[in-house]
Amino acid sequence: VDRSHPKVGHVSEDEERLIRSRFVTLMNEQIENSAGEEREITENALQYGIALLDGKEVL
Amino acid sequence: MRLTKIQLTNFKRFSDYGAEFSPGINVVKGPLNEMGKSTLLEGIIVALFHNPRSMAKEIRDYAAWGSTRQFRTSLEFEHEGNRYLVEKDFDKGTARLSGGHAREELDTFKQVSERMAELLGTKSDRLFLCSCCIRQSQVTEVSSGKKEIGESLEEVVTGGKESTLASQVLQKLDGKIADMKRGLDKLAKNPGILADLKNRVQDVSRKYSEVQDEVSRVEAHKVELVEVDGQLAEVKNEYEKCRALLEKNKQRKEIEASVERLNKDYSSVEELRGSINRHQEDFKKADEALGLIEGFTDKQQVLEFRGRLDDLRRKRSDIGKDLAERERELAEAKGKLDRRKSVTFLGSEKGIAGAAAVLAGGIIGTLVGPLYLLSLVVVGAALLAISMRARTALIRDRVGISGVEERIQRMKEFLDELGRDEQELLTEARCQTSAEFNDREKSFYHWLQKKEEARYRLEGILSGKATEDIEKRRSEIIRKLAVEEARLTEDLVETRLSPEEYVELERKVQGLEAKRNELEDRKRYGMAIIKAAKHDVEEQTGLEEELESLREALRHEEKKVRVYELAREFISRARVGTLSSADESLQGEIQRYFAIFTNGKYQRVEVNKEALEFRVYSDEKGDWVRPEDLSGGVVDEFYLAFRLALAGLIFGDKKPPLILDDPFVNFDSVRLANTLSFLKTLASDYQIIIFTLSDSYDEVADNIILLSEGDKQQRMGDKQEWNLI
Repeated sequence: VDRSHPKVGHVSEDEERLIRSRFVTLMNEQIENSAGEEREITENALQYGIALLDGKEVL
Repeated sequence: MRLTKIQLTNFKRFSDYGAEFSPGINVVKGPLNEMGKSTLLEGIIVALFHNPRSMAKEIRDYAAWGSTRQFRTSLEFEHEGNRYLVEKDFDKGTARLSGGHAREELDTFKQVSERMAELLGTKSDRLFLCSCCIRQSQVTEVSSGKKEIGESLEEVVTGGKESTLASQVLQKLDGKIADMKRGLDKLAKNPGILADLKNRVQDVSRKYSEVQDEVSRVEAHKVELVEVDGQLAEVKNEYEKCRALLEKNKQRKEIEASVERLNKDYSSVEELRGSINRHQEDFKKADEALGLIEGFTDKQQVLEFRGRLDDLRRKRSDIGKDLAERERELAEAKGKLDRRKSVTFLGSEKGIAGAAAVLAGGIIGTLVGPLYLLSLVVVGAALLAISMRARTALIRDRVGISGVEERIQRMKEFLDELGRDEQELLTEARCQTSAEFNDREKSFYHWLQKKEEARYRLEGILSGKATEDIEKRRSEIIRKLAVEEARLTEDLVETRLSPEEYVELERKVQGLEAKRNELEDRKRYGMAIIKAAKHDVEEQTGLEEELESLREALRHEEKKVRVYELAREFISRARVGTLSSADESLQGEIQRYFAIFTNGKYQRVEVNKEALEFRVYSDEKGDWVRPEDLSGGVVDEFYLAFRLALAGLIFGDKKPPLILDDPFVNFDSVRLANTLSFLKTLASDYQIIIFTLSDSYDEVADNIILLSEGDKQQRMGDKQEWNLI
């Protein structure tokens, strides 16, 4: 996992209009409903997604 | 944005052509085909979007026919009250943008392109052509700009606030996921990390499996070898014991057989010796008996005696027989002589004398007496002749008898001589008589025969051997017997087995031998397997670690892919969710325009923006249909509505010029009137440039640009009509 990604808690969810914000919301819901390795994967997916939507080259 | 002026130099049919545009609706008319309408439209697109350094053939082909130089474009436009000039020289490959409230000057195509994108709302000619530029021949052609449309709508929806478009992120993720998964479903020249790791895991697994199998096999053989060694030791021990017992019994049996054989030989020898002794005694006895026969020394002598005696006897016999014959012959001759008295008389001297007397008396009487006395002479002669003849015969007989008698006499004398010789012979043989000789001879031959028989038998028994040999043989047998009996130890006797036990032991030994061979084969096979093993436990451990490492890497990469896929899925869901508002907006705008263009006939439209698929609700059919299933005019009307809605949604307040290349040819008059009326209203917000052959739009035109054959040489404004309404 790229540690430079923002932590889940740091993601602002005030811009509901943005795909990024919607993505964060959806992912947080998914994280809440998952556990174990699946939760870890989901958290990583959130961090990767945010980094990519922020234009970072993390792939 | 509103175009104000365009200048095309060396551009296809235009060596140097210019046109000015007004706000509102501009109608570019050419009464005939090939007057430059399409060329002018292409010139506008090139001036707005294309790179002057492009070497693309479709760009280079815009150069004037037969010209060795490339073309130039110059486009003036207004945006939010500011005037701009964009100039492109495709011969020199330069681009320049000047104007604006800050009097900016940009002289690289990249800068110019970026700024034009800001002013126009896009730098994609494809998006522009799919939305703002509506050409009659391509009115339904929107799929080529699908990607740009999607991205633009996304930007529209997000207000351009995203750092990176979600669609681009999705593309990146799709690319990355596809790259990682490449080769999973089908063979790939360069497989992705997952396929590569899986292949390596498979390879190492296969190798590990081979090594594990072999190592397991070898280990199993090692364990088996230990077991086999144990069993082999037991079997060998038991085998040796049984074998030893069997050998003892075999040895004992051999010794006993040998003793028996020797005893038999001894008996034979003893018997032989007995026979020899008996025959020797017989021989001796015969020899002694022969010695006791006086006068008979050897067979040759006896044979000689016998020969001589037999010869004498034969002679005596022959002579005796001859003598008897002669005596009989003499007797016969005498008897015969006795029986012939007349002849005896006639032949006697008296007879002859009487015959002679008769003859003489006859002669005398004849002579002297009568003649008849001559007969007396004849009788006398005849008597004389007979007497003479009888006399001859008598003499002959008497001589014969005399000869026989002499012979008989000689024979008798010879017989006597032979008798003497026989006597002498018997005397020599010290026998008194022939009978004695015969008895002795008989006895001699009897004992001689006995002696010969004894000798022959001895020779037969000895068969050329000497009695010493027999004795030696006997001694040898006795010695061997002693040796063999000495070999028959107590141990051998005590371990004696009954025949049944012996047979049973033999079977047991055979069984143990077979078992031992089998175990030795198993041992050899196991050792061969172990020796031939190419892999060992260390290699297995190494492969196990390598396999675990690869599996861990694969799990890691699979997890990463799941992370990417999950990110992609949720970004896509977020994007779809966010863009659904765009779909609704686009759908609403299309419905609004389409209802106007169809005079209210079609009110409901469904949009699948991702696939750029549409459905129109047909009241006539009572169902949703694809626009392509409607009539040609309605199709044109639908896509005009879609493009206008799209332009409004995508470009928003940029409001680029709408370029319409005669897209209303299939509209009926009522719908065309409604459409033109709507366009007139739309022209308050958008500059509209209509390219047409027709005069139908003159009424709504704010500016008409007439093209003619001579326009290729005309300078800007030479025939420009300004019909400001």
